[in-house]
Amino acid sequence: MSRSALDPSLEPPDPALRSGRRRLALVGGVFALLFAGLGLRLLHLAPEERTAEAAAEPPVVATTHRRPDLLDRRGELLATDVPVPSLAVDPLLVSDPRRTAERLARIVGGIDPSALERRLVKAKAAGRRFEWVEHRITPAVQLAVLEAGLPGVLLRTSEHRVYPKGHAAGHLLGFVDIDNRGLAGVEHALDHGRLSALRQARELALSLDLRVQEALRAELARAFREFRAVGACGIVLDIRTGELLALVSLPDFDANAGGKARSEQRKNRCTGGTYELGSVFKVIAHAAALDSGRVRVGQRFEIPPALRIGRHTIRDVRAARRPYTAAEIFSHSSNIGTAQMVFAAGGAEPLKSMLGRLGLFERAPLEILEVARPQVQRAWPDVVTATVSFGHGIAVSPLRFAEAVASLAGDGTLVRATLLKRPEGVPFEPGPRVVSRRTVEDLRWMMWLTVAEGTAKKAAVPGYLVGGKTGTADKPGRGGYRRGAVLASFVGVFPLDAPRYLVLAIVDEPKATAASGGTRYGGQVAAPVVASVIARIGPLLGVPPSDPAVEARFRERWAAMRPAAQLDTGGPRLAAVDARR
Amino acid sequence: MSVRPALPVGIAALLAAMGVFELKRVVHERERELARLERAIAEERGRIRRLRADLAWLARPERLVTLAQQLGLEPARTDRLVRTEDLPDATALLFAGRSLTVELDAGEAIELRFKPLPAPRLGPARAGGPRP
Repeated sequence: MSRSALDPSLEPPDPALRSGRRRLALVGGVFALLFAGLGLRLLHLAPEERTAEAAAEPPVVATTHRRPDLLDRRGELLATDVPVPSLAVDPLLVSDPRRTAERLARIVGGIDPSALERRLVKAKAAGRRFEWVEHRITPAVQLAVLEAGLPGVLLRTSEHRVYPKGHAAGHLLGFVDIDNRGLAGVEHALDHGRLSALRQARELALSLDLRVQEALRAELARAFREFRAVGACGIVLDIRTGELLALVSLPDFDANAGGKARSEQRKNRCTGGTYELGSVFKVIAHAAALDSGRVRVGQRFEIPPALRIGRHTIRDVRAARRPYTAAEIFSHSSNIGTAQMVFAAGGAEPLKSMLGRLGLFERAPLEILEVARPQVQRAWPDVVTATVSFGHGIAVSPLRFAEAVASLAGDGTLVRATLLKRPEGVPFEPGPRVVSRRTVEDLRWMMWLTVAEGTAKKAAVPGYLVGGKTGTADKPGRGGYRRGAVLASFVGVFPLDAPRYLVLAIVDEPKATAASGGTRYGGQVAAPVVASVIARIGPLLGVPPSDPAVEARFRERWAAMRPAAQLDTGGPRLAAVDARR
Repeated sequence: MSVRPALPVGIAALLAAMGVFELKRVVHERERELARLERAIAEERGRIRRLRADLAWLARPERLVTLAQQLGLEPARTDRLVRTEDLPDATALLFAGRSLTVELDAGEAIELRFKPLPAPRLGPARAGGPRP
């Protein structure tokens, strides 16, 4: 090769060679373009493959239906969502519907194989790509299905609400439908009601204390069985903050199978039912009379054997044989005396004003939907004033009543019940004042007297000062009150030296037994329930024993007011019985 | 067009394309790993929730009541509660176990013990101030 061949121009002298090179470059260029195109296509394909794969893998847990966990005030789990697989089939991928149906039926159990086969064939013909086989299968079934390796069988995980504590607080928690939508109680309120703002929260701390709930349920259930009642309601309320520590309505149900519960079980008697509560209501009448300033605790009232108002006659269960002080009217639960007290205080006006201040004309603003509106008479003649004073002719929910008593016996400020735990460390703002401190003191003392000397001796608990009021209400029926059907109740407050908790027990239609001394009075049926509940929850809640000095002061006050007549045989029979003992 | 400058440019382009492709493959791999981990986390979370529910179910009141009875436990009794004010003075107890050896003038050594004061009060109301 000559030196001229390495000329930088590289132009071969031969024209044939020159055109050959040009063609070569052209072909090379075309191939380069092709490869570049392929490369680009490859790059283009790479992310597409990824998206297709991602679409084939749905997230394990659908987060949209996740509900907040419900906890009690101490963090015990009351309701939670658990991922549970469900079994479905893509009919198009099933080559042998008969075999698939038979094997699935054998694994799952409780499925008719021929019906499933027909469904699969039909769905396949219709071109559907999804057919449910069984909702909520167990892990064992899930494993068996996976091991069977049937083509076209799908496992879909969905959230399933469980209530680990079973029967506890089912009425408050409520329950959900198959799609995890709330149907009752807090669950309903989370979806449609007053708690919907908290729907997205991870967990929700309720005011309930599971230990108290269980103690209340056990003690109430014992009375419910023993007295063969048709229903019962129990409430434990924190008087200072209005937090509901426990609420039991019997008969109750397992929230895990809420949909299967009978309506009788589902009924929340404490909030959703209204009752003419009877004598327990005298707490309110006495508060009205004392707070009016026209009646004093030591004031004596003549108690006639019967009080006639228009066409109506009011009687007492046990006729008084001497004048009663206002305190004795309360502790011996005299209907006539209470009516006279209210009339002495001004009649309908102070009573209505007190009911209004306590909110007894309105529905309780609890967070759940199942809260009944009180039923009150429109017209308010004297006879209504008289009957309302001892709890007839006005029907309120036990919860509303508990709020009212908590307001009166607490420190006289309005108490509003809540199902949510109050945030710790935030000072609690008390509600507006309802009655004077003096009235509160008087009421507490009269409630103590009722337990110490009156109709509620069975409510006494060693170590704690307990005060309360009994009630035995005739139940209304067609055209009047039913004979023999009563509502036995007791509302208790403890410790009375610094009231902290209210315990209410109501037993609906108890039958008299030997344990109740053959009677169905609130003092025999409901008061022992409250006493056992207080004895159980007092130590749990860390309530210190009551100051003996307070009890001594209460006794002194009673001794100073106690009529000499009580020591005579003319005194009430109850006192006579005790003296013999 | 000259072949000579086109060649290195072509090679560079090819290398860059290979690089990008490799990068995408690695990213893809990572994404798969991420998805796998996310699934594993979700599964683990689900398992934790199942276990929590299980634990809560095992600690349900009915079961605890039965177990407590089998173990001979009983509810705390209110008459066994004492207020802190009613507890005997702690300083009296502090010296309860101590002794002090004292030598008498006669040369005899005797041991002195502190006698705890009786508890100020347990039971009915205290009237007035503290006792002397």
